[in-house]
Amino acid sequence: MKRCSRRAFTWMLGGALAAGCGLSGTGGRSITFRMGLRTALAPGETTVGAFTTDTGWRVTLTTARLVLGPIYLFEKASPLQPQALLRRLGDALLPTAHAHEGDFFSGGRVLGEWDREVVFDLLADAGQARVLGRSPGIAGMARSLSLLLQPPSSALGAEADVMQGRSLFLEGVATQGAARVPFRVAMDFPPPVELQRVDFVPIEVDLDDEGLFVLEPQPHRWFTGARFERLTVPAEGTPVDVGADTQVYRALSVNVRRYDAFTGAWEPAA
Amino acid sequence: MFIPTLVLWLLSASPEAPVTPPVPVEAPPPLMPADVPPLTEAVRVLLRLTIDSGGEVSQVEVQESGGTAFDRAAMAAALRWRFEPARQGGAPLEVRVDVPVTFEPVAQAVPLAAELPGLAGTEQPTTPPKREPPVFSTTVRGQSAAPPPVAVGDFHITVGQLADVPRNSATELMLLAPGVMLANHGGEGHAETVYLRGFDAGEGKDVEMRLDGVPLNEVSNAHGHGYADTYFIIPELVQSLRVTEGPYEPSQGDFGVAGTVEYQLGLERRGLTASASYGGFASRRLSLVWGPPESTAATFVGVLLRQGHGFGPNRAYANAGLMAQTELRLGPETKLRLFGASYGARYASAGVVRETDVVDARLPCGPDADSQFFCLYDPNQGGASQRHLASVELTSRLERGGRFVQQAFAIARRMRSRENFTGFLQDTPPIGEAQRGDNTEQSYQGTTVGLRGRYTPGLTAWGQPRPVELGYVARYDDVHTRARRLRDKGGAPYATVFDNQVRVTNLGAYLSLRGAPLEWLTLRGGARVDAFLFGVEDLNRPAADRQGARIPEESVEAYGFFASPRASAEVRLTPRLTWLTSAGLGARSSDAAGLSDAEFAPYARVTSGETGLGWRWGAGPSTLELRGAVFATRVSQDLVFSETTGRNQPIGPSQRLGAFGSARFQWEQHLDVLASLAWARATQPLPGASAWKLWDGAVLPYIPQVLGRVDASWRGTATVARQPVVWSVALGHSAIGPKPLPLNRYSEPIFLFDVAARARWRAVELGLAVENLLDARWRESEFNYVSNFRGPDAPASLLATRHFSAGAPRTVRGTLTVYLDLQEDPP
Repeated sequence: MKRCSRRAFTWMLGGALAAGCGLSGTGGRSITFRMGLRTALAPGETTVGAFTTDTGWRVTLTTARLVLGPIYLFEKASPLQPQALLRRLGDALLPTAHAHEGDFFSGGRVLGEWDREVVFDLLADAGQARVLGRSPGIAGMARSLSLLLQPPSSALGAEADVMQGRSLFLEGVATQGAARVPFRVAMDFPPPVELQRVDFVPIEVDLDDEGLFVLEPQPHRWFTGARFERLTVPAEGTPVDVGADTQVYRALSVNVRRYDAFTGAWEPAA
Repeated sequence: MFIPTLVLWLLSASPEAPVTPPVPVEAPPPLMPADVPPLTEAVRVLLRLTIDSGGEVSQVEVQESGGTAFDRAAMAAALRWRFEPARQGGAPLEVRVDVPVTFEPVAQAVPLAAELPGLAGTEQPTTPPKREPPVFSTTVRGQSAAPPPVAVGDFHITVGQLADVPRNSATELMLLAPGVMLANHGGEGHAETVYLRGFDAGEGKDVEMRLDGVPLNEVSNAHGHGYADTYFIIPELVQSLRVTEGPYEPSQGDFGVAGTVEYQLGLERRGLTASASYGGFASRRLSLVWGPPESTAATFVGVLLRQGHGFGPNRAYANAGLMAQTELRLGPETKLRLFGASYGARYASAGVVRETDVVDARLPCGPDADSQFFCLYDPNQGGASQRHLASVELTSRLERGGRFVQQAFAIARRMRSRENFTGFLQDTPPIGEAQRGDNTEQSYQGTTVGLRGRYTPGLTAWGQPRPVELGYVARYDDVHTRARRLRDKGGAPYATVFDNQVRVTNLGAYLSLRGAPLEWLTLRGGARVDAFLFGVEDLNRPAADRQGARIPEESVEAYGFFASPRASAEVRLTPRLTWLTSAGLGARSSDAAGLSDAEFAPYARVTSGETGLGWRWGAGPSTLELRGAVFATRVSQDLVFSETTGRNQPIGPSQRLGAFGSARFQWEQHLDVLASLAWARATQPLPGASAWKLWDGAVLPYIPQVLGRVDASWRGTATVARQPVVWSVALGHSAIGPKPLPLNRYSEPIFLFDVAARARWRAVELGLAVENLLDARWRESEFNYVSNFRGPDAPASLLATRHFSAGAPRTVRGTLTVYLDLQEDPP
């Protein structure tokens, strides 16, 4: 009975399609894609976690762990996206009126997301993407992303033990000429959520089925303006615990939440 | 079994002048008395009817008795018959006729002499009558011929034998109309969402619901403007439904956007019927309906108690209802109908679950697929409902067949609903605190009082008797409607979404005209006007604004008005085949909560048209009726469900294109089959697109495009151990095509089969019903939106994903019914 009924329906729907009645038209297309993480190499570098800051310090990270997520991919472009000179001139002459849409970020519709937290070891995969898993999404061009940096929640379980309740943990050595500053920094990003968010990260990826979106932390951007010389190195040469009252900490705290602290890349399905 | 055969010997009113005899228009056969043994020979009752100049049966006398039970059954049926009046020289006149009513056993059913030729056929008598002077005879067979429909999609559905099909509530009787689908995301006691003709009519926002003239849609209900809960109606007392799909009847009022559903009550079976059921998930049902043998089907009492654990966690329910009606004759021309109903219910609800969590087995239930499918997030969901209703209707018969009907009604109503669609997403907690939860409590309480009436002068014009009808409605609602957010822990309210005291006055009037300028052409038309006065006390204003402290209340008053013309043309192509074209405007009033002070209240306007064919064949008690039509509808302001508020929100215009076909075959009182197939495509038109481009635009999600339904019942008699046993089997089948979902996705089609079997020996009947026979796992409601059910401190998902509420699995229920005739006095 069920089979007959199903067959009748199939015929009927087929007829409807043939007549142009169409099973189409709610708009958009659902996809499933993979989400991954990979640490970006600094320009001209071949080693993950090694870079030179704009203040001339050569930094080599020996430990770098971060709790991040969720990650949201938005359809609208970041207002901080670099634009052509002509466009910028036009915007200056005829500025666009911006109104709050009611969402926390006026990025429009979310086209894809990784809605869980993850503890990411920036140095573990030697520049290879760590695939987090599959994620539902909507096909289309994603032009900006947003993510949260926050203390590990209970949902992470034992995976978060290594973070000892911190949001970011970095350890390494900064050198400049003869100066050598071993350092260790642990950061928290407590609520409110406005201070945990990394917004307006420009991307330009065409989301589609089975592709891989890779979020790339750019640690070389995190130390922009950091003045390691202002840190006092212990006599015994042990790493400096970079405190919240130091210039390096403040620079790092600001930089790691800037729109250029992360970027994204898309690898279409093979 | 008996074959309902009536032969009317009509006496001429005057031997001198030619008289056109009365012609039966509506003549439902009598029911076999409840407690008589199967007949071995025919039983005949001779009735003398007085048929007035309006064609109504004004008096019934028994001339020859066939026994008390049969006399009573014949008289009860005769009181409902309707005729085209006898005429002399064109003028209607009152006549008296003797009518033999024969109850026959199936085995001795005699072939009938002739079928009724339409509704106007008369013949010379085939048997010389005993009394003088018999001049005419007319044979009437089969079920009642309904009043003429105003559109192909205007269905007068007699429940009759199809009451055998398993149904959970009177709401499900709506499935007898083509193109109707019901869904419930809120539990046993929460009003059903009605999908009709490509409309997501919500819980009543786009479908006008009435119970014998009493309006059921609730204005500004916190759950949705127009919310109409019909759970309180006892199914055993529903005699018929009138489902008018589209706004084509001038009497249709507010909310009649997709159509109007009117429940018509009555209890054919006299005596006491007590029924007790027990079934799966500890479901218990006890019903008691009683119709005094001395009265007509309009006098009855019914009590219904239901209780159960529900088909999964957090789905328990309990409710009790009572309905009673008395029809009093206040003289030969006046009837008074007194009706009252009381109902109370509480229920728990599992709400919706995220598809991804079910697939990944992340819900807090067992890891197996079934446990996950029926699981839930928030156990603090459910609701309660109370309703008390009273109605008084006075029907006066005027000269020359005119009618004057006056009705007054009063409703006291209270409901509360708690639902959580989004988990932890909507709250903006104080700094340093976690999300408190999105569980939303919606409450509504208040009273409705009103008057309605209609006047049909006893005129004959344009070839039609009673061609004019005037009607009115006056309704006043005084209700308190409120929505609050509840804390996830403990359920205490922490924020008020809105809190309004709403007072709405609706005054409406309509004029309906009917004429037949040509023998084959009947035109109907009319218009309805409605005026609204809205008064809102907003009790949720801030205690301070930029200018300082203020009273946290504010008053808003607004006025609204709309007029709705309707018309139809009926072309009789052959005596059995009719082509009917209808067009009309309808409207849905504003939700008072959304109005501004001194605003001319906007309204949603629906424009609808349809054309189609109807074909009817009848041979005695057997009939076959086929209908089919295409339709188009455009709504100026549609509403769709918003998960953030848990109620419907405006989205702009929408349009629909569709078609349906239906067939009902009744074979004596053995077989009754009603089948329908409907297709509709609902779209949101492109901005600026022509109103004629009904095809273009984005398809509206969630509304099923193809719906099929079959209801069938077969009754018979068998002999078991030399004892006569009356049996019946019944089938209900719903086929719901793939529902469009956002992102061009489609849901799985749904096929549900419900079956029932009953056997009755003397006054005792045993029944077994199985709903969802194939134990399909189906999704009763589906949505696509953003939610976060992981917890207050978990990262929120911002990507819309599929949510659903689970449909009931296979449920088996056994029923014991006892019929007591209680007939002692002669009729």
